[in-house]
Amino acid sequence: MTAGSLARLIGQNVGRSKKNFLMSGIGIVVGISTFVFFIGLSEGIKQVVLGRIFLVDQVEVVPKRFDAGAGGLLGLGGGRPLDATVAEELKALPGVVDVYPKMKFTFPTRGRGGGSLFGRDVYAELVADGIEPRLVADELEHPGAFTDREVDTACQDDKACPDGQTCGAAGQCEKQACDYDWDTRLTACPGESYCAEDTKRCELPIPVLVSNHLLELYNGSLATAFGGSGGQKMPRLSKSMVMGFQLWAEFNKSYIDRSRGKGSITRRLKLVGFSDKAISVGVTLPLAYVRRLNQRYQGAEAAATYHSVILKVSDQTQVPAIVKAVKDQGFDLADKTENAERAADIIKTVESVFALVSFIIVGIAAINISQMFFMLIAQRRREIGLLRALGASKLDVRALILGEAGLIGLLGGIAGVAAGVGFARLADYVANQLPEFPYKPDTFFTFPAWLWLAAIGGAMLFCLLGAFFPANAAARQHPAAALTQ
Amino acid sequence: MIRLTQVEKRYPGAAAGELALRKVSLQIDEGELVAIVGTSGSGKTTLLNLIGGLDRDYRGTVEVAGHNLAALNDRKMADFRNRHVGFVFQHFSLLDHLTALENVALPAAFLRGPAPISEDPVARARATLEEMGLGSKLGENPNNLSGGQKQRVAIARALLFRPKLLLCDEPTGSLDSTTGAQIIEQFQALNREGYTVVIITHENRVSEAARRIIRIEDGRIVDDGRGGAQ
Ligand SMILES: Nc1ncnc2c1ncn2[C@@H]1O[C@H](COP(=O)(O)OP(=O)(O)O)[C@@H](O)[C@H]1O
Ligand SMILES: [Mg+2]
Repeated sequence: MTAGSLARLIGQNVGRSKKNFLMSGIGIVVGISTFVFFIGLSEGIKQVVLGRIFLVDQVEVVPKRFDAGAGGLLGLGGGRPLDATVAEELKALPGVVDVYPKMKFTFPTRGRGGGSLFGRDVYAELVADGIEPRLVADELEHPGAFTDREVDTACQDDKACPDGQTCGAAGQCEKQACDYDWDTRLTACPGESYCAEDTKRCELPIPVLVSNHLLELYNGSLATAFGGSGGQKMPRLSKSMVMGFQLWAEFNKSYIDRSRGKGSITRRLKLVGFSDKAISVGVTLPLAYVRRLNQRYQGAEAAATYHSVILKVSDQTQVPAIVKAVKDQGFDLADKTENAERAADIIKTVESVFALVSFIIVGIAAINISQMFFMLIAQRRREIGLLRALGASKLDVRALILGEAGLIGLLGGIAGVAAGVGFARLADYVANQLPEFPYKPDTFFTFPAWLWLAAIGGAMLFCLLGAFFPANAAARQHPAAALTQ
Repeated sequence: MIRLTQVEKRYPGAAAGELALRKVSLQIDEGELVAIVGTSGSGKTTLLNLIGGLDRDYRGTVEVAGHNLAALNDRKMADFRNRHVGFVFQHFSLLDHLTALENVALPAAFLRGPAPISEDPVARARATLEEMGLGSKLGENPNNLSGGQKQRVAIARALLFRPKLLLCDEPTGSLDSTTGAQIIEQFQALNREGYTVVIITHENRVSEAARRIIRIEDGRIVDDGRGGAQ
């Protein structure tokens, strides 16, 4: 039998038993739409949770924390410090593409500013860390802006130098001297430079990044909570509104703690971009600034010790092996990474449960289809015998029945996918009517290509399985016996 | 054309001595028109099924159109039925969800390898139906046809690949006598064209049309002789 005539016979038979097939197909549609809906939901949530809240394609290594372990009792203190040597070792681990050390401020800092955004200045303790600019180079809109601006710049004339600097005799840009006065410190120097009290020179703002989360958290909670109320209005902020925003940072000063010697210095910070690799709540500076400040306030050791090292992983499947190697080397994972692992596990579990439920529904549908086919071939007993008499082989009969089942599976699968996606759109529509909350995505669903394949392929597979025994029975049926009434 | 040697058939479940066919030996030559007669349950259909390759469970040898049927596997047997045998049954056996034309062309769906006829099967189906005076019924469903028309559609289907052998099991059994007579004339005409025709019947007027009548009783050939006609 040629594929063409097989397809024609299948089409004719399905068309003839529309009602039967429709009834059995409904089970498939229900099961497949459940599958598509919930797996799409899990995948969508996975993207939000793992792709935006936690980042699973990177592993963040921190020094070992001893909690009541033997080491703690023996007074061994903390684990190995994370320094440049360790970073090199971690980079050598298989599956690790690159390492990006992070360093936190080892001294308190307080921030002040925001008048232009909030109507009046906001005061806050400032949490800050530093990362290497190359870690974020490919995700920033203006990667050149997030860089160490204290490096020497060779020059031939003043034009080659940044704001507030002139070309010195040695062919290097030099910061201009300025007369410091509290009232005129912002206007005393050209362009974006300002007059610093400690150096009495024109300094450039320190570029900083904030995390996307911070803006999300602010818009999703603070701005929503206070946005409408009378006294304390908090406007919703967009990225473009806050880009270029500047604030004062007083290093080695605190609103809650007394400053400890060595004096404090005041610098301006300028927001130059957003990155998920920036500290969740706080600001992130180019690593070099943090290193210099730590050196200044806490000494050489603080300047050489990282708080964590981010390992960039070649692909996600390598993560478990890398996690193990890191722990074997005597380090821990940052909470974020641990949480991501846990969140991934939970999502995987929920996803499996939904997959199982859908498979049970489709499985029941397949049993139903099996029964329908047994009934159909009993009805078509004489007809199958006739086809045999006219030249159909056992294989032809089997192909015919399985083909009908496959067609139901294909149509049921497509209808199921359409229904699942339809329900997803509906759910998104309903969710859009809900108030804002942090990390609220535009859609809660993601439908990767494999899901289409799995849904339609699965529907066909189950229908074929359901029709397998009926098809066998039909093929085994004696052609002569089928013709006698 | 057909040679049966010492053929025995026992249906599964039947008692040991209870045979549907007992040591049947028989030869039918190309171009013959043979009637097989006998009472109900005597074994006529059983015999026809063996000749037509619908039943492979027997003892002895059955050779048809140069094939020893016991040696054919399922696929080759299906091929044999498809190309070499045209079946006509008492109950017409048309598919109600297909048109007359589609019914006649149906064997083409199961053709493997080169076609046994030079023309396009659908064109051949149409031409045959027109020859039989059913040119206006090509798109009709079998439900809308009379008994005689249905049986002529079934005959046209049997003729699709111009098989050498037509096997007919009580082809007039469901028809009134006038229509039955027309159908018998049709078989006689086909026989004159060169088809070998084997007709099972228990009607005398049918057997009278045949040149040779084989009488079966209780699974045995009890008479094999010339009939009345010609
Ligand atoms: N499929 C079958 N299973 C068991 N016994 C059968 C079957 N078909 C026919 N028989 C028996 O074989 C004998 C011959 O039947 P059959 O060839 O149909 O007779 P006829 O066609 O002459 O009426 C009968 O006794 C009948 O009961
Ligand atoms: Mg019979």
